[in-house]
Amino acid sequence: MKTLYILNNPQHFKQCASAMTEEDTLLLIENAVLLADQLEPRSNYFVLEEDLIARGLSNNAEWQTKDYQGFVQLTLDCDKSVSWL
Amino acid sequence: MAIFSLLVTANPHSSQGQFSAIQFAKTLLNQGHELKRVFFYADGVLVASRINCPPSDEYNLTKTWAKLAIQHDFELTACVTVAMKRGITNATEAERNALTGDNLDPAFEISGLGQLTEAMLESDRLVTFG
Repeated sequence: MKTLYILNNPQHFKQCASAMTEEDTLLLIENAVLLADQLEPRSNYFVLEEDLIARGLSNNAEWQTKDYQGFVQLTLDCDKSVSWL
Repeated sequence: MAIFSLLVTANPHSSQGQFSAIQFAKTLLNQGHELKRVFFYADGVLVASRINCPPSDEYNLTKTWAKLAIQHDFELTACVTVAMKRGITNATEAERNALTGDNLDPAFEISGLGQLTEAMLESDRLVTFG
């Protein structure tokens, strides 16, 4: 079952990543977008563009970005979503 | 087209979650999907007070939810137990508990966790914002 993990707290990345399998997808939102500046990008990792821009990080990130339209689509492409709070 | 419900636990005064949920709701509605219910739980229920009065140059989350829900005909439901605990009440609950007033915004309703379970069962996707 493909799960979308939505992470909004950068301090919870390790726990969240350890719960994920290879077929799962990660989306960083809110303060967790700061991680896109620190961690290596991956094919199943995405970051919310609006929240990156709001924090002045839009040019630094090599991560794949999603806008809100892409965010909604990700929730549909996966079977369910888990918000890792 | 899919049916969505949202679970919002984010405190409207101290976190971004309510803004994120509103953006997500607006986007899915613009895409032609259906929003069945937004269920507010934990500190998320604080947004349901009609006497929330942010400064005029700040975003009014209560009014934004209310306007969106009326425009697109979806439900705004706050959990009764956590709402009462935080002083968010409708007239019926206020009377039952001998309180001097009520403050639930008319666009919102307060109900039990069963409404969250039902939203999960009757929607294709439930997305949580905390």
